[in-house]
Amino acid sequence: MRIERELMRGAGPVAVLKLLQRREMYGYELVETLDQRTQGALAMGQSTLYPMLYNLEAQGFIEATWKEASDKATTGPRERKYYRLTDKGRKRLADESAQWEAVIRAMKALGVASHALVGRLSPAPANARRFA
Amino acid sequence: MNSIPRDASAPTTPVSAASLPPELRKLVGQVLKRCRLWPAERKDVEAELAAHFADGLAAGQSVQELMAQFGDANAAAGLISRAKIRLRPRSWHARRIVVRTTLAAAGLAIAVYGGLFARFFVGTPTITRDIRQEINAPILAIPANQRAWSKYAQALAAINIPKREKETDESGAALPPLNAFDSIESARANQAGVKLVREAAALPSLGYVVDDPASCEFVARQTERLNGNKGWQTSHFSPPDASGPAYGILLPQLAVFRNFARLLAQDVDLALQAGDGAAAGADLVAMARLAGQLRETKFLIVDLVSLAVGDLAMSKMREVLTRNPSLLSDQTLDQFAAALSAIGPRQDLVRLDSELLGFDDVLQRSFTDDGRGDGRLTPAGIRLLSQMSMGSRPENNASVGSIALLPVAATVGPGRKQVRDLYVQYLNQTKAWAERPAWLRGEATDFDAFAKLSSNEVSPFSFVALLIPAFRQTVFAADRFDTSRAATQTVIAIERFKRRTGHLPTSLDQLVPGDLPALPRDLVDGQPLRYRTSGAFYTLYSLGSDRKDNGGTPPTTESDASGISNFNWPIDASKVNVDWVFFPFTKPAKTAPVP
Repeated sequence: MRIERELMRGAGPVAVLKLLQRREMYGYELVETLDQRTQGALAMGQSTLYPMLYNLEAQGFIEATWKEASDKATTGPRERKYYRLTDKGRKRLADESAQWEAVIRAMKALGVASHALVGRLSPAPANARRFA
Repeated sequence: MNSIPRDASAPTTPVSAASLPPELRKLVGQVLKRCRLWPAERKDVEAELAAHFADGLAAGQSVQELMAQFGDANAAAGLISRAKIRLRPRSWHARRIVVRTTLAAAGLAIAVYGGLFARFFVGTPTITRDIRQEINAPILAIPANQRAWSKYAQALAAINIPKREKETDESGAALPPLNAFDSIESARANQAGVKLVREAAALPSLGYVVDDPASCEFVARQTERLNGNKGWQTSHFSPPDASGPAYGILLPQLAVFRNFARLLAQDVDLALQAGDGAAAGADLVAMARLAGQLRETKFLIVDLVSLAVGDLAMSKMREVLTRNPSLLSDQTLDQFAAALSAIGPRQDLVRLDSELLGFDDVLQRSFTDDGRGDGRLTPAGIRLLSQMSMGSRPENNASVGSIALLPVAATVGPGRKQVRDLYVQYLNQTKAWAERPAWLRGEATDFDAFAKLSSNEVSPFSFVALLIPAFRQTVFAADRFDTSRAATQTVIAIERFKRRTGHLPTSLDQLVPGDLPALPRDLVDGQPLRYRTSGAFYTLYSLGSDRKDNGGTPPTTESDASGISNFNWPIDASKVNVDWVFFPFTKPAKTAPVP
């Protein structure tokens, strides 16, 4: 299910920060991971992702570095722009996460959100690509 | 993984380096084309998009899938541009704010100025008053047989330049032609004209219609004839503009009356020579009546000419009473005194209010009219102001900057009502100052507040500066005339007393109230005019502008005579020891006598 634009505006940046919390990632990797981990709910194209990344970078929540990397998905060394979370971004993520938890509890109390959605994120589907 | 800094000087583009298919290259190019970014920023975006597509292809996605996932390229370009711009340094953002704010302010100022400019040029004045009609209406209501102007015109036509008895001097050099008004010969040669002037002066009204084209042209032609300027006057004559501003009203009758007064003064001299008291008396009474008749046209300049004519009449009267006191009859003395009194009381000698008529005319030609006495300056008003300014002070031509600000000044600057109120304020201040006795008046410091109006900047207030005549000088002229009139009437009263008692009064108190209603006051200190007797002779004098009592010593030069009675430019007391002497009459020399 695709999320409406207004909801995506709030959820997208938090989702990206969350993914970067574990490790640094590059753009394509972020797009694929978001799509797979959320069953397409937070799927977004480059026209949405990259402006979002630049805005997060401008706000100081993430920082970017060009690196040469090779993995099973590439043929030979290639440069990619990797993004990682900053301390300011970690704090921001913590704040946003707390707010989202409050919203979910509220929606649950109203009967809008199901009990099954409260708790950890659902695991990635079995056929999801693995990124280095 | 190695961290590699981007090499912005790499010879190949990131898209070509990624070996992307043409469709994806085109898509990246489409996005970059719409991005308003610095070169380094564009390169970074290009590289990132290229890397993304390369990753997708490497992951097994098709070109179509990747293109479909990309989203709206145009929207992407805008979002990417805005986001990348946010990454720019703070100093750049600060500069952009300053530039945008400045441009916005400039744009707003231009828009506002443009609106004011349009509003300014849309404004037009509405002329509702015909000043000439207002001035002439009471004149035209006077029966024709009571109006003297036509007889004065006959007199002017009857006057000719007298011929000299000899055309050359002793050395054989040609003598210049005589003036038609300034010599005994002119009086002798123009008795018909003199008689007509006396008859005209006896009529109750002058009856001169301002800006009557026929009268103006007639005077121009006669002036040309009597000045000997063949063709000059008529070739330079312009008919009066009946629709023009009131300050352009022609007043040719002023010069005519001045000339008549001079001619009558010459005739008095002729009568003195001949011992003809009737002629001398008729001339003197006519001169005094001329001064009163002139005042029918209510302009300040007319009042000043009237005072000059009256001053000449009084001077001649005192001269006659000095040289031949028994020449004039009692009736002549009474008629002359009455004609002097008829000129008007002290407070009406210069009618400052009369100038308001002309000023209102300027306002109605310069400002819009909102129906409540207010309005804003119009382009017609600016033109009028420029015309008036060029004639008076050429160095006050407005700067380009002040002209450019006129639409703003017209909107936010003083309006019609405020300008008029300022003029009336100045008028009333002058009147209040003038109404105080001269010796109690003190310095008119209020006038200094208006000095700033005569600046070089063009503004609605410039009308006030240009159209305020020398109010202070006119008040001094009135003071001078009134003192001279009081002195002359005192001289007449002394003559009447002497004829009645056979001797001079021992003091001026003896004249009051039988021969004089009150003691004549010296405008210098408010004390009675100084009166000194010596046998059968007496001296009547004012301390004069030097404010020193020099025992009634008369001035010996025209310059000192002028200075001692000029309270606007007082005489230097350290250089002369003279008084303003009314009696006996003395004729100072044109130049200082050789010691």
